[in-house]
Amino acid sequence: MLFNSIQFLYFFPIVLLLYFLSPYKWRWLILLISSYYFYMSWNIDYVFLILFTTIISYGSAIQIERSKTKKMKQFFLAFSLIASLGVLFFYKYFNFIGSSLNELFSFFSNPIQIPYLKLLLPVGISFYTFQTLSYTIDVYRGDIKTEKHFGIYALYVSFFPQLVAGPIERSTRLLPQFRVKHQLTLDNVIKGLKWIIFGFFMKLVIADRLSLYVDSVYNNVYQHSGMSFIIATFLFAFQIFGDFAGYSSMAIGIARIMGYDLMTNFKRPYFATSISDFWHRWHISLSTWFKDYFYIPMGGSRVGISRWYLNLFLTFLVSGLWHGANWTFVIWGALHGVYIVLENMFKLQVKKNQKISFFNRIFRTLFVFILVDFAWIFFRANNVSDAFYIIRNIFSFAGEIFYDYKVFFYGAIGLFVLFINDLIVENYKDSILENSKMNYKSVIYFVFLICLILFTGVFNGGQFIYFQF
Amino acid sequence: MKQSIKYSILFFGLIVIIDLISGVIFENLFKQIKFGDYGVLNKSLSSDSEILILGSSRAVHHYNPKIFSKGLNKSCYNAGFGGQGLFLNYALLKERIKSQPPKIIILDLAPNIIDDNKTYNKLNLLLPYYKTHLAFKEIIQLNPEFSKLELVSSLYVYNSTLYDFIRSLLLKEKKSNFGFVPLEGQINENKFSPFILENEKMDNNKITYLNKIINLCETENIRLISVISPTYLKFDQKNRIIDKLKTILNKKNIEFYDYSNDTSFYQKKVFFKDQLHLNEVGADIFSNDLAEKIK
Repeated sequence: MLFNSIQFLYFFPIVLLLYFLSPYKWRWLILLISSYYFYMSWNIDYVFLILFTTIISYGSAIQIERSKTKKMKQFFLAFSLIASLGVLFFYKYFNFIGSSLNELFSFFSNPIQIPYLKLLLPVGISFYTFQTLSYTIDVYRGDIKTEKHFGIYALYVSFFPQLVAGPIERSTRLLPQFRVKHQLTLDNVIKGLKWIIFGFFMKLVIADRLSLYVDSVYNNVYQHSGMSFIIATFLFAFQIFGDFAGYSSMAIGIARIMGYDLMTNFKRPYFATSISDFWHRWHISLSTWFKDYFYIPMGGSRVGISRWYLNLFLTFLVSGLWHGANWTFVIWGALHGVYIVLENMFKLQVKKNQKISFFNRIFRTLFVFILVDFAWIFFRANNVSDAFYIIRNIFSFAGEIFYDYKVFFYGAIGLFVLFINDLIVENYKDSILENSKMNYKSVIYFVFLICLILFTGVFNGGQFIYFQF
Repeated sequence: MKQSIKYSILFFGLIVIIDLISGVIFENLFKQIKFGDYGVLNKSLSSDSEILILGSSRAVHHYNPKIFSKGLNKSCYNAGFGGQGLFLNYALLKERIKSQPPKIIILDLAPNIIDDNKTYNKLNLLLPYYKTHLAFKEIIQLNPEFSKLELVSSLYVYNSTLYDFIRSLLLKEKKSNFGFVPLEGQINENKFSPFILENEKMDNNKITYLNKIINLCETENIRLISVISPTYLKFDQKNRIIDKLKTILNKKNIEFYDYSNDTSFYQKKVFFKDQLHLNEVGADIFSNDLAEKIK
């Protein structure tokens, strides 16, 4: 069930009504049933996996807390990590590793063949697995007490607004919110609706419109020319942003109406002045997850310089693999790893409170955008050979340009509105979405966005890109 | 609180007012759209030709109405429409019959015309005709995802028409090809993966609508000519979909011309733009050949 579907239009008001009309002590149950129903609308079988991961992490966390010795704590932590990551590995990476090994074996003329399994990747498995991992690790570290109420813990894992594509919430932030008696307030409804409207704008006006061009080019790379690759790659940068940030906005808005506060996942990433700045603005819930549970435990920057660079590189490499079981994602992650290592090596970041000139800022922003956009080629290409074909041809200006005037026309309108919106927020720190105060300006702005969505949005677009992760 | 309520009322009020006003404006402007998908549909609906060509993108690019007009001495219009199929063909025919029934229908049957390829959501493109054309209303409702909620907002109904509105206001129409869109250039074999009719499942709705077109022509005494126009690669003659098509057409004694394995076109690069579409040269040769046969 997509947020931008008719089913959700019926589902959410019913959930909202049931939630606020129920006595406080049963509200968790309403949300849990709704979340499982929401998840099962993709595939009923998926529910067993999420339940398995929930039970394992719930039980392990309790055992970790009860254990008296460090060894026992470590044992239960390892058990939980292996079980949760095992499920993720099996469903997401088994065939990828199998086919990669088969290619390696055939290179050495080895007859061993790892069978290809017909597995359907459960929606959002990477998101909820990471959420359970952070909980178990937090309990192990003593950062949080275990949640004894299984229902509330199951709700933390499956909370429907952020279940299938994040933001990946931390137990320390989200779990306590399930204990609060939320009220339906006009303030929350206004804020929530603003986030949702903006999310719809990002998804329907920008992402799904641009995808019409991007998909035509990237799904038939051998029929297109260098200029079409440049246009498609440029547009993909905004398609993926609109798609993912749009989903996050909707998730935040839906949760906000019910009184829940989810973390901001995007902060105008294409205004970044360095690659590290980009990662402070893009998919923040994932980058901070990797920082807290992968990069820092490996030693972070408090190690020798070469080890620090290795830590940085590995963090991005694994982050790439997290996105998908394909070498394209591994290369994408590795590229960002190389960018970040080089940036640190040559100290290219802008320091906090450091003032830079307007032109320096423009140059940096454009340069970072080009680097990030170049890496998107691997992220979007259907396979590595397509990606290299695009790169080989992207600067040959020969061949016909594929024109889709409708995409250019409506895409330009959407991108212009997004640019102005982000420019204002970036420079005046005026969070239009977080401000619950209404005035004539905000009323006109959101009426305009709704009209734009209805009049120029693409309503039969596909799923959200990040659902596949 | 009072302020918020005041602005909330203003917010919803403005949306309703803008939507209502847009509805009135677009309803009047819509018929004047000359370009894009809606331009094609508007012209197809208002044409009064004696020969009407129906089909999908293959019809649009393969049948040159001027050749048919000359060969058969009758006016001809190509009402083919890319990305749609038998549902739209039926709706167009039904609406045309109301105003000026054609004498001949040439129905191009793409080799995958009745397969089960789940293209129902494309019917939403026809929403602006929902209230004004009953046959369109009927086929829009075939989309299982269609909800009458979609008709609440005029802005939504006229979604993505702005570009064509503006073009219609600013640009003059080029010389009319009567719906025919010739393709330039030749096929590049290195740049395609062969089109294979993998999905042999059939969509019963599509079969029903093929029968409806046949029945409509029978009742209205319209000569129906069905054609599988040339393809670059051969199709497996044992294919269940093509078999089924032939069975339906034979049963009703419908004129049928199968060019799918015609050796004068098969693998002749000079006639094709891609593996499913003839280029301008191929389209003219095919149109002449067919016009000669159906005289």
